[in-house]
Amino acid sequence: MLNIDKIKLMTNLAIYEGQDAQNNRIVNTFFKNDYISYNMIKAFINLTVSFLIFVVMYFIYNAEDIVEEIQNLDFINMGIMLAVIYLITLSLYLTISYLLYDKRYNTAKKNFKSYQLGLKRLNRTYELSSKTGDGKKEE
Amino acid sequence: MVMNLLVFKERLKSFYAKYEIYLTPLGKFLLAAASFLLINQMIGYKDILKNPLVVIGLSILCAFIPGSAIVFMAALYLLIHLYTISLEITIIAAALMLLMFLLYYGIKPGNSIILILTPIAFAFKVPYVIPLCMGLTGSISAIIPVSFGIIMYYLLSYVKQNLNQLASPGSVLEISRYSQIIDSIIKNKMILLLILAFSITTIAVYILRRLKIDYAWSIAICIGAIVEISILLIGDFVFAVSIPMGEFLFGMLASILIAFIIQFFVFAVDYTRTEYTQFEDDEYYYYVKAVPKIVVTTPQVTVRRFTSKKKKNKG
Repeated sequence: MLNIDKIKLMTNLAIYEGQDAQNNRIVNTFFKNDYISYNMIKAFINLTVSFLIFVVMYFIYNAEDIVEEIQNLDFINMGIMLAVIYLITLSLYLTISYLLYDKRYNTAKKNFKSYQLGLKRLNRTYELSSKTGDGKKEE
Repeated sequence: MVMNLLVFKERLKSFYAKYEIYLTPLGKFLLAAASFLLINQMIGYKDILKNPLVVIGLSILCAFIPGSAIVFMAALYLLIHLYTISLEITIIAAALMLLMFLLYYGIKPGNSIILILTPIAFAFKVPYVIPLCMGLTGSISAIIPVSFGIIMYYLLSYVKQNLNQLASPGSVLEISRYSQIIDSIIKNKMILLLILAFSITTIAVYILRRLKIDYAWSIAICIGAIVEISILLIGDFVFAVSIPMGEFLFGMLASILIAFIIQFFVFAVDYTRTEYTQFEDDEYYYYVKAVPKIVVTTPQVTVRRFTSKKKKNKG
């Protein structure tokens, strides 16, 4: 016989498995610190590459002025300037991504917990139905 | 009147729930076709890509791939066209796209459709609808792809206007051509003004529609539109850019109208989509189609119950 409640529960669980596969993977493969640090490293590489692109574009943009004034340029000062700008943007970007990934992990964990609760409930319906099933047989 | 609209909305919901599997690819097809045609119309200089068969074929392909892949296809399509015009503009466009993908989509994947929607809205002269819709549906972070969409659109219109200068090799030094193109973005006050106006409007609409008051969404659209109009008009004076008034007013009115239509018909269609799942237990295989329940009818039902209870009490 079809058990409507069980089907509802199983459907919800199946939807979670399909939709929130990402969540599932996050919680199952990483501890929180690992997850955050893995993504921070990714964010660090992304920002560094972006910064390099930015610097190259800036130099090409100002190429004519730079070539004209190449003897008067203070390269040390310029290097320090670039480093400071880089560090400021880096710390900003990493802070944002830290907050983001922290939040993302927490929600994933929460969803995963409710999924586990659903599994437990499903298990209980199995136990119940097997008991009642036995009862029917005895009758 | 209102009742009829509600009934129509219900029908639309059930229609969407029923045919969602066909409607979503259709929407993607139209979106992809619109973006390819827009690119062709603005900077179509690679003849093979302008072939209608190629456009249709690519759009059909786009109907079945995820949204972010459509954006990738459109970006590639754009870069090939640009490459036929000049190398400098291709490099700048590619660098901009790369920056966008590394910095924004690196940490927040999804929603890349906004990148395409913004230029398309510009082409249809209703760009003002974008911040209203983003505030209603999305989150504040949508500001970034929208701003990027604005920059891309203006880069393309710059290429379209200065085609001869950019295309003829040797007329200008290459390096100076780079600077010229970048200048066209940095020194264009219109881009700055639009980004400013769109960002503030998005934030305003987003905050207002989350308020726990009646008609929060409609209020959000109205006040958002007022904010947008005032910033653009003030900016028109402060930055000394000339916004063509007729087009602006018409576009603004059309945008508000579109925002209301979208709010009423599309957002009400429960976006938690129909789900198809399959699973099994010891006795059966289940193929389940789970359709989200329609919520609007519930208040009417409770009203009826209330009156019937009253009658019972009296009796």
